[in-house]
Amino acid sequence: MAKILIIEDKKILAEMYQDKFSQAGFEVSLAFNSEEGIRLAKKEKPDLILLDILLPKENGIQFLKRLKMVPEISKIPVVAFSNYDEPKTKKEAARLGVKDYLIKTEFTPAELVEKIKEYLPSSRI
Amino acid sequence: MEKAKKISKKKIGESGYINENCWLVKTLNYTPYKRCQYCELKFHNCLFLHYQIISLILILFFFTLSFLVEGKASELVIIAVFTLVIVYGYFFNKSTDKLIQANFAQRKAKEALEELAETLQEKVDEQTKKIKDAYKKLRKAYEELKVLDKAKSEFISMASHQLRTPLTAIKGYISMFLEGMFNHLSPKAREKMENVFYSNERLIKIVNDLLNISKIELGKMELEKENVQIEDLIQSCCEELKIEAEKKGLKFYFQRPKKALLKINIDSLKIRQVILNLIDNAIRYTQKGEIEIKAEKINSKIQISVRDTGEGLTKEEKKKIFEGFTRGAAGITYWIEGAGLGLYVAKKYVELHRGKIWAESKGKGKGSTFYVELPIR
Repeated sequence: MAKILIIEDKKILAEMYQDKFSQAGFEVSLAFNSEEGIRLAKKEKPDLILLDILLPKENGIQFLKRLKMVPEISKIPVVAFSNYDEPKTKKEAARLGVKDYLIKTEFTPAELVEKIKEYLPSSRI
Repeated sequence: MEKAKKISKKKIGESGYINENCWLVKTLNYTPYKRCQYCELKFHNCLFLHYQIISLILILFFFTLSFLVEGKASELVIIAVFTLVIVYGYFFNKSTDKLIQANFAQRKAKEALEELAETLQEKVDEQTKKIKDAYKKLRKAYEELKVLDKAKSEFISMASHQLRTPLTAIKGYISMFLEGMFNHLSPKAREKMENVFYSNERLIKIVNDLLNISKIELGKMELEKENVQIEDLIQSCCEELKIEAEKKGLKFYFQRPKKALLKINIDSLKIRQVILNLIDNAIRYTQKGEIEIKAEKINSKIQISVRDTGEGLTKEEKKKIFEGFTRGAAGITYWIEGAGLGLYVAKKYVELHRGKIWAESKGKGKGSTFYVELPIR
């Protein structure tokens, strides 16, 4: 069973995705900010991180920079998932190694699950 | 210099006029002849001086001669010399008059010209000042407008981001309801839910359009170009919308060019959005008949056209159709209800590619054709 960490500050969205991913057979952990995200990533060692970009205090870009500095979790694939789609931020995220940059309104939760499966090793699905 | 200029303000011929060019007038304020006032000659050419000196030399010469020859100045010599000087003076006057008159005319013309130049300069200065003031005002207004425009775009951008979060939640939960994740839905409830879902999709599209417009207007829109076979791009757009056309019973076809077109360097996502928008509009505004899509090479450009047999456009609509908002008598209005901002965004995208977009129609009820022209290089 694949483990996924969702970092999302909007409770309503976080819970919605948690419901959908759980139903699809994922083991889901939720973090509401960057700090918590790093802590949970270290603890849970997820197969993939779904990262919102507009977060309180530290934004997604800063989270990615911090993630790269911790060797034990720096190799975890990250997919950025936000409604914030400024080209500059997108480029920055790509430079920091995100697998993809998805816009939330373009996906239903079911479509998101399918998309995320593309970035997981087949043995984990 | 200042003073001299002030004095010379008195016009030539007026009393109190001082001729700056005459050494006698200038240094002694003495005018031996009236015409000295008008004389334009410099000191070494002074005619008055020449006359005086030459007369004196003549007198001295003959008196000396007479003393040397006769030991005294004879009456005959005196009379002869003075007659000579007077005759000389008469001819001298006559010959110099012309010269001085010419100089006078020249001087007068020059002064008139200077005066004209001065008034002209004053007028030019006045006008320049007016223009400068107007420019300053305009510049200020422009700056204010620019700030306002930027604020507007940033506001739209921010508001749109804020709007997208609840829209995502609505989209997510409705789709989960439709999947039957929470409860089994009755067919009627499912139908209503689907309506909500598509209304929400429309709302998302409007927000996306607003966001794209604000990006374009803030200069943040960037093209991600790649080499694209345009026919393939059009084909995939057609396949996506074919069902919609068939639902309405429209004949719908894409005429692929016989010879493959050259690949063009474009942002395929954005041009795709443009083509989808044109086809979508064609389907929406055509109740019966056909929709024909074509792509061809015209000179150094690729022209894509979408022709329909739908509602057509009036002359005014043809003009306003690509404007985002138009300000009419009734305030801000869309050109046609429901068309939204899609064509405005399409125009901006095409222009970012240095292309052209326009519409043609023979009038209301006679269908319309939309063209997009993209440069090959």
